[in-house]
Amino acid sequence: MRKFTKLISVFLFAWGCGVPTLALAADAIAGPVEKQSLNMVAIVIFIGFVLLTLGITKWASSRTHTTEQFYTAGGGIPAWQNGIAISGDFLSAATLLGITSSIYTMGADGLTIIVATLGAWPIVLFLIAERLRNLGKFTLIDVISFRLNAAKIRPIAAAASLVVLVFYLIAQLVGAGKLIQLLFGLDYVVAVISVSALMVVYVAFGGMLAATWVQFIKSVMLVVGGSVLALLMLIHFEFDVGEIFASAERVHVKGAEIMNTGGWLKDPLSVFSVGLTLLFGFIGLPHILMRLFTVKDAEASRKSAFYAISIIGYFQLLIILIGFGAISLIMFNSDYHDAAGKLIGGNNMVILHVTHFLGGDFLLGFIAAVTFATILAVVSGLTISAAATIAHDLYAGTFAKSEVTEEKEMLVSKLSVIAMGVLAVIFGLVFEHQNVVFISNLAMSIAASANAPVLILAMYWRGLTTKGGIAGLVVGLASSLLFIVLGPQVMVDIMGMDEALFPYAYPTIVSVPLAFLSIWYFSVSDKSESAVKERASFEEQYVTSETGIGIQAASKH
Amino acid sequence: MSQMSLADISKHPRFIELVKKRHQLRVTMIGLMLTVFMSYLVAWAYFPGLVNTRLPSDSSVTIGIWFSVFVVLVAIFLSAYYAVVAGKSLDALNAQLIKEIEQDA
Repeated sequence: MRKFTKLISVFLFAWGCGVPTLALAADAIAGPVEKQSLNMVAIVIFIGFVLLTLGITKWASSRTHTTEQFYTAGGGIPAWQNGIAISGDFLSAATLLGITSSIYTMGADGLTIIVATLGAWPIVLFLIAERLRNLGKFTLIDVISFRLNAAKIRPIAAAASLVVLVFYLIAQLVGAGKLIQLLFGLDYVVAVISVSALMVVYVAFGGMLAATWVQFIKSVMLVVGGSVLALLMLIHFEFDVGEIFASAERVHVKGAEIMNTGGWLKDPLSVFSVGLTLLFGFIGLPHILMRLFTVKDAEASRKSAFYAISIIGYFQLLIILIGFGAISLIMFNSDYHDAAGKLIGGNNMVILHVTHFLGGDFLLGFIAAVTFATILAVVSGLTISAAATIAHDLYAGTFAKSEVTEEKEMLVSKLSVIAMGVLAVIFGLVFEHQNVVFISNLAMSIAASANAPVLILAMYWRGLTTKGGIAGLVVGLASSLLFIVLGPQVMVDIMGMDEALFPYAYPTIVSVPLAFLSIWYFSVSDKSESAVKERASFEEQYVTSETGIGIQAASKH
Repeated sequence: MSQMSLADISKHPRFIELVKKRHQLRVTMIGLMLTVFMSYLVAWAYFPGLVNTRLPSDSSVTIGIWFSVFVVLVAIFLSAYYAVVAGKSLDALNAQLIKEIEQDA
């Protein structure tokens, strides 16, 4: 405990040292005087958030002794609270900033991301939520390896999960560094180190319990902030929702085209690839699925998914209003554009400019702090999931030669958390000047192509064998990587070629069917003795997955 | 309850009733959600004229925007029904199954 307090004071000191540079840097970037008052409000609210969450972490650390407490908060989180935390884990800065700016720049096609998100979530609920809770203990890999040869499939499934988590982390961190640079005037390096250090402190000391609270508080802040913003928007338009759209159409440089399809998705297959990526991507996101293990049973897991869907849906509806409303308020407002006519801070800043327009410096400070909190909540979720994958699936489940004690596994978990922190800083610095959009799409595509098909078939298809599962993981992983590299985001945007070999931004339209196909082929053609046993044991898995009977016996390793 | 093996439970009439009901519910729910979701994607991909139609015709709001809001609301509604309404009776059935197994053992 003393070690913990000491670490916090060292950290706060280090962060405090960063604050003066921050005010200086703000002058250099932004210029206008109003930006400084923004910094003060944002900093005060954000420091409040950090102190509160560190306090919670200290409390959580006194309740986190066993691996079960560390990975899943002992399965004791109430469903409603877990639902809010899931939405906090899920609604990333990309949702908040990215979707608003998509609507602002591309118009109606930005809505497809919202719809695909909300179309995918209920499928996760109907198909996955209950069986996952009944079959697994800490990770989705528990479920995949339930009746398969764990020694063979765990390391490969763990590799796929880790690739998803690390890529997701890189995308979040690079985005975060740039964002914090803009919002707080904090130096990029300081920003990346701050986020990584806080993330390590939360997770290493407070485990899942601390991560849950960070996500919970952030989600409440986000929903409150979004609601206030949408309300101010409605007041501005005198509660005439139709006028928000009519005005956007009149003002936007693209005119009536902004309400039409085709602004972003140029051809039918692009539409389907977005839908497919989000649908299967969510089914395969390790850090989101892990949250379903933090509740006591399948019923609570199902309910928490429903609460999460309601919050995410409500928030996305607000984003539609805010995104279209922003066009009228910001697009030709010289306060938010530089001398060259570019939006200050780039297109991702739309929601922050509109916040400033509607709510002044105070609300802007609040939303800026929420954005920072959002990043922390998401990276904490990614880190605990990575720690569970390394310590539970790889160390305890696969590679440990001697007996794995509770203490040893906890130590490995905490070391993994620190390793993730170090990795985050390194990658954050390496990728500072890179375009990271493809990295986050890659994470989502691998989740969709490698994790999701195996997970679904492990739960529902009797015929799945270890060989088929491994084939699916490898093919899903390799094909998403290959098609992203051959796709427009790497070949055109980064390498500067005229045309990409693979025309679609998301590879899932090919890689997901390919993964399913290879699982099927290599399972059906598997005539080995172990394959026969694996198919036979589906019966027992079926009973456990539907009723929860036999969970304890099954999940001990 | 450890007296009864998992294989025995799979033949228990209450278990068969439970999984049959849950299976039907799941298929219906997934069917409804996928129908709505896929028709949205198909409309967006192949019927831009329809999606871009203004509704009401003197406004700027397109059918696409209405459809988007509709999908969000359907998602919330179906989830609520599955998680809270239909789930309740299945949970009761599951609890009853576990009780019967314990009595038999």
